[in-house]
Amino acid sequence: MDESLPQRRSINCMRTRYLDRRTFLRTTLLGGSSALLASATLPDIARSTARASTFESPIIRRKLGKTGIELPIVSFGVMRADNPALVHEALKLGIVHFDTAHGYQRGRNEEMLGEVFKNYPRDSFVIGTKVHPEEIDRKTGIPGPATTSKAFLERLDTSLKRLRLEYVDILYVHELSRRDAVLHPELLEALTLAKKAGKARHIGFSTHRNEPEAILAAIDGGVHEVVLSSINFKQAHYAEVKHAVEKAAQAGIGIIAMKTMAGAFHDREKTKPINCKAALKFVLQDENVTTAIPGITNFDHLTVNASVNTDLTMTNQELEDLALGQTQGGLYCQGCEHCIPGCPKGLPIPDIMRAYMYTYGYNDPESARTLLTSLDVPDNVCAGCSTCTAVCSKGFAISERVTDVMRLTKVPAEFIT
Amino acid sequence: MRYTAIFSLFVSIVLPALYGQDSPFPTIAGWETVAEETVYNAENLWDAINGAAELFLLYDFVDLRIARYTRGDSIEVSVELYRHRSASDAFGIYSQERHPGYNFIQLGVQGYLQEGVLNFLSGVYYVKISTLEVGDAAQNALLMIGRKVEKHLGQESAWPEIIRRFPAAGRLPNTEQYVAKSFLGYSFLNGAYIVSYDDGALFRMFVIAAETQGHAKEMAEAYCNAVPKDSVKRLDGGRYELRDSHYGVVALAVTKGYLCGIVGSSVGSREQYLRRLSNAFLK
Repeated sequence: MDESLPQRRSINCMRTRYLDRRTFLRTTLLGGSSALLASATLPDIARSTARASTFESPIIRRKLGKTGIELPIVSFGVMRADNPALVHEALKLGIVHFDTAHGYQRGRNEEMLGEVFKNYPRDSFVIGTKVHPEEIDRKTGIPGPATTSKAFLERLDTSLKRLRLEYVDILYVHELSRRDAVLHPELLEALTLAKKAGKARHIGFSTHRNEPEAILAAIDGGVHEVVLSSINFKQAHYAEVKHAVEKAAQAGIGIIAMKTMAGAFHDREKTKPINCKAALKFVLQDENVTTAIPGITNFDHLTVNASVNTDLTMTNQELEDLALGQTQGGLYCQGCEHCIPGCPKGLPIPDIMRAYMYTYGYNDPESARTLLTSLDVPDNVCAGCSTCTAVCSKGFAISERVTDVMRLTKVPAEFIT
Repeated sequence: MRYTAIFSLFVSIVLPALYGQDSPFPTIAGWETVAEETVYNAENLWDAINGAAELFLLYDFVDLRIARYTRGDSIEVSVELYRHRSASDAFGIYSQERHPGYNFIQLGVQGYLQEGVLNFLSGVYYVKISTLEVGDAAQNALLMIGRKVEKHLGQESAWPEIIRRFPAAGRLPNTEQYVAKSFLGYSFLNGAYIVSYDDGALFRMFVIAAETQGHAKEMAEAYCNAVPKDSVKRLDGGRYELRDSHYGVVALAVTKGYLCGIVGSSVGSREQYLRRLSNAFLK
């Protein structure tokens, strides 16, 4: 049983503290309570390379960048499961890569995995965990002054204790969305030191907004080996994400997908469930994506997801199901500049379209406003213009979008979140 | 698209301006309160707590509001209010993050205090209060603010009724849980209240409130169908015993619209404990 526990899993990313060892041992009656649910007899696990699938077709595997790790295309995001039996079953089905985080369930998620994996050969599974920076501004996405390499590494040590491991296979900084955050010196140092100390075989970060900027920053930084990114069929900027993923793959960075299910429902009222298997397959059609980590709650989900490991073919029904969900598509401006000659006022239309995407695709009006303000576009610029011949190669309603998003420049900054 | 655009602008610009008129955060003399404009909901909880959001969403999460309390230059305290659809859901997510070894205190339904952290359950709210500061002054500030917040929220401070009915003998303190979806990993077992017991060996008992007696029986039958046929014994009085390859022997009893069960017990105690549990739900 792990001897230390997180004292906070605050979203403010404050310092990690530890329970007194004796207090913990004295008061912890159950120890790893989750072990209660562990199977009575461990499955007969051979090494991952020899593990047989229960499915007839061979498991599809892909290389994770330059790490030397080869993974089945479907992995297991453990964030929703506190059930060791699901992990044991996943191993039986040929899933070998499990993703957790320092903060999930205030550390109980990592503890549960530690309890499960203590009896498995270390090279029969791949563990990725995510450690959050000490302090990060949720509005700007930039780490604050309290973010230090030391604090990050202390958290990693706690995670390793919970996991009962000497090292994790992939260590991520949890959730970075800005270039400055990806290249933050303290975080880069922390990752580098963790790797040098043998506590992480490979290093990277996770990102679930503004992903293209973060991914491209990783290429420039040359430190990160793996990026765990949101990728799904509903992303308004999917094309941009895909492009960044391609660039990263070319640079030898391994890409792992998360949030493939895009929220499980098409609508807010939760009446139209997403075909999660189709959504998973969609993301994995891109061979630059090594594997995906769908969250798994029960054996049914597990079986469905594991079946994708051997068959990526999308049925007509699955394609139809996904088309239903692509209601937010068409926000990504590819920057072809086909529109520019047709604008009598010489507006920087691609930039304005980017601001539009920030607003409605990323839900980030703050960035949109900053961008628009820097463009110095006159008020009501499209109003009354009768000579516009600007045409978008993707069919965007240019003047409508320009008029719509330019309103942001009139909103006081303090009202924009 | 047009409606989406208008809605998004409304959510991101107008709502924050309106927010604050009916604040869930108490005013505390000597402390400055700054509530974050962003109210996190099921759509954007990821922005606040990353992948941990997925577990909260399983417990019918409604919204998260955050405020920062500052006293002079000395102490800054963050208060996070996670509101769920029902008290059972709030209890469920609280129980998922609670460890039996924590330092528990009486606050709301229950809370625990650690250095720099005070978390507690209060009706439909799971409240997390934290500070970077250390020492007695900081701990006292957490407690003081916690009590003010709890009072301001005005929630009922009681454990879920089903949890209160679990038998006392052998019951391990602070092991109560509520699993909203897929208890034991089975999609047909939802809304399970669980308590751990010790009679020399550790085991767990659970209760699921069914819509009807027939529904309770359907759940039991679904479980029987999920394991090999020769692993199932159907006993008198709505009782079942089945061998599950993941959990060993599981005993079930259908009682007045409840599915009661025991997982991982020894042969000697199984019948006795299940009977006690079933009797508690016969009343």
